[in-house]
Amino acid sequence: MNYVQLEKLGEGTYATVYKGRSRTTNEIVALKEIHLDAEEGTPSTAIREISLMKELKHTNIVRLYDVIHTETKLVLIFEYCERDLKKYMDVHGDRGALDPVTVRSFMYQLLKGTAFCHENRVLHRDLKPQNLLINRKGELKLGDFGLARAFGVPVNTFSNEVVTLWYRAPDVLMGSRTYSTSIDVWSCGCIFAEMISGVPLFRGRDNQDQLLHIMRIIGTPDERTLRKIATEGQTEGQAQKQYPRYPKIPFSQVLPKASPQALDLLERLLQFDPAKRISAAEALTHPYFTTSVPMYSTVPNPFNGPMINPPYPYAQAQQQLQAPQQGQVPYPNAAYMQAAHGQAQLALAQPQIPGAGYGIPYAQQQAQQHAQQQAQQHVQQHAQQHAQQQYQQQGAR
Amino acid sequence: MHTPVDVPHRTQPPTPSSSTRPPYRKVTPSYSSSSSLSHTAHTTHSGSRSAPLEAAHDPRRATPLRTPSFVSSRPSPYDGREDDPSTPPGSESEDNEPEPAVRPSAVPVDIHAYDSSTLLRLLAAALSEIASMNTDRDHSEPYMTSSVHSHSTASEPHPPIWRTLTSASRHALSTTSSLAFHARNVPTIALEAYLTRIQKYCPASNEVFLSLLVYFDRMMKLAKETCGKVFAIDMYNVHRLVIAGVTVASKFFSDVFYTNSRYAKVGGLPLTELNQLELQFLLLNDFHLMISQEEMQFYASKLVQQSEIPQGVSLVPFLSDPPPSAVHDAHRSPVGPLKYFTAMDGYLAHLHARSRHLHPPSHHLHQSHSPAPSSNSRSSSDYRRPESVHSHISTSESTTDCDTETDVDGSTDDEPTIRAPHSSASSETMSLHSATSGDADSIYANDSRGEMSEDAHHYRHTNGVRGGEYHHHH
Repeated sequence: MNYVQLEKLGEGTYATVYKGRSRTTNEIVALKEIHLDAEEGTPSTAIREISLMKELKHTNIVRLYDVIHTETKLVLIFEYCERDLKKYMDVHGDRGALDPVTVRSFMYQLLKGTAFCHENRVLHRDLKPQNLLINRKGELKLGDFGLARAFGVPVNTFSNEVVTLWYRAPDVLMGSRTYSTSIDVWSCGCIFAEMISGVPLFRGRDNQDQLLHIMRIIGTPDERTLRKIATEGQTEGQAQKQYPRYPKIPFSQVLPKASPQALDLLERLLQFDPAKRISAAEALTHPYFTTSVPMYSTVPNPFNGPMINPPYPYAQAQQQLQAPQQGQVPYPNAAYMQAAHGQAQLALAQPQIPGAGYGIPYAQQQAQQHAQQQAQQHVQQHAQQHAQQQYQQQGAR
Repeated sequence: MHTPVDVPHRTQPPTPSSSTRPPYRKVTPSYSSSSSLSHTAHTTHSGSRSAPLEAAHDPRRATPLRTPSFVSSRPSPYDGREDDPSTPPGSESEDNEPEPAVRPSAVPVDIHAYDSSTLLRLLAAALSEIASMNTDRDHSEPYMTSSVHSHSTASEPHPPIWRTLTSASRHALSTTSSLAFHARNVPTIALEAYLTRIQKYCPASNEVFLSLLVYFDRMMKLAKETCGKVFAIDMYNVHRLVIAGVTVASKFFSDVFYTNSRYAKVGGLPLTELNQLELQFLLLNDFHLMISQEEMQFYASKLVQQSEIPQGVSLVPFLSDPPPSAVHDAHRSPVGPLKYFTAMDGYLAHLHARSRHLHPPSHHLHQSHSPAPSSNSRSSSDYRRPESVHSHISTSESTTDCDTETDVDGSTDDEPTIRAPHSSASSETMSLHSATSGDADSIYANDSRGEMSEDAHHYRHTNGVRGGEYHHHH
């Protein structure tokens, strides 16, 4: 093989990820080894990941460079990214919460990658911080397309056991199998809120509990909406569930740190009714991205392409937040550059625990590290495993 | 529906007479391709093929995906005939031929809602025809064995496309014996029965089955373009290609799929072989599994249009490169789905032209051109092949009819055998024929989709699909 295998980054049920180095170019890559199981043959996750990622060439999607076949395994050669968003938030965030400029940069890149998938008729179906990779240039990339699938001809062979519970759209929670791109948009909204606050927005224990968590914040939708979505769900013969009538809590109360424009975008991403959810492409043109942070024209506009060094200093972020009424006060170019530079250096100085986002249960590492910290971590892990098991069962049936 | 001619114990087609085609097809000697050209030439006008292609340029789909191969690579002697199905219905309205049945309009096929058993029948018909065209007349030798020589030598540089392939695919393309998909003998189970069986025990959506056609074309094209290799669907490999393709496509397209051990049992080959074939299938497609809606729709409409071809018609004269005297010519490029459909277009154009010029519009004979698959075409008897012992054409089309046929043939296997020439000995030792006709019944008789509930699929396989029932091939 043309790559030197370096340290192991993580291990999952059907794949092991190693860091690797190209013998020819010295480039660092991620090597994902797929075990070829006798009963299952080539895992469907691998088939989808390869065939979809091969076609999706975009700055904000982890690039699949090559596939190598050895006697007993397939090795996928991926672009290397230092860490996933979850880890990035743990390391760089203020108790997980990222500064507004970083949030905006990541959010833009997330929507950009998602919109590209949708343009190419691919649903990712498992967007969550663990599956978003961040490289040292501050680029965010969608990874782990093992649950993804092409859409086109409407079919009823969609599973509703997709997307890690906390990022799963309410229509899917209600059993919809006819979902489409809006399923990913919901996940984007959840990730957006999580980057702002540092904690996942809706943390349910199971399907039903997750739905209640959602309703407690965005409010129980009216009967008509509920009925419409429940009908799409076609839940097996069961009578339509009655849900408690929760009033909507304004997002400004849930996320007091967020700017009005951020809240407005969040509102549009987290629509209960999938038909009302904004599309990823539309979201990219939202004023949140186009107007809120002023910049000198000499500063390369980070929204014109891949974003480099997105962070800017906390102090200024705070300023902006505390005094939004002052309008758009440009901050000095030099200060921005310097601060950004400092931030980038800081980023590199941090211990780096990569490995997730290539489709392996990163939660194991996580749990070890933070076992004593947060019980929620375990809840999340269980939720993920539960979701995965269910998916696998679905497949095996 | 193809009854392999070298299987002596069968005297009747083993499958439903609902098949649109007689089982054995020969080149009709009296028919030359030049005459077909002259017939169609005057009907040609340009632009009629544009509809599906324009759809492919929908700006919303501006994607980095390759231009669908069917856009650019169609052989074109019949391009642009006026009766292309993509021509809007109104475009021929000035003709004195009002019956819509003659030229069904290019209403897009609702792939999802289309009747599955009809689709499988048409698919089996197309694949059987293609395989038959690529198999030598006596079915004595697989197409590939004589034509498998790589046309490119090691010294010959690969085309630029070579570098875009994954390492795994490059390796597979340059080393794989294309015979990997070849069974030792022509499998005894007819293709339609085989497909029906797969659908029964491993149900999949229509797009999974349709995608086979797309993938087969891609595999042929990729092998040809990258290595100059010939990859042909023939009577020996079509079953194995089908089961490998269904396995791959189900995993790609559907959230509901089955274990490979189940696909192997249903498909009648050892698990290890299916695993290998699955991987080969992926590699020979270079993992290019995405199919645009337009491409899927194109293949669907062509497949459905196939039902317009009357029984007993050979499309061989309409193949874009005329068959040489020796059918089994090593350098003849093999027929794939695309080429087959192009020939079909040529035939239909020809038929249409004839019908308009030889018969008054009201002529009754043309009822046979209705899209009903069973149409018994008297008007096109010119093209009728000589009937062989095996081309038992049943004009009455009923499933009960076919059931009896199947039952009469007591040797119907519970599990088909599509073994490779040198596959492991373990299963060769098992030479059970199907135990009871009752079981055979459960496999083949119940064609009606309505009776097969999803649950039935799931629970049935434990009874219906038994392991290790193989023919002895020694």
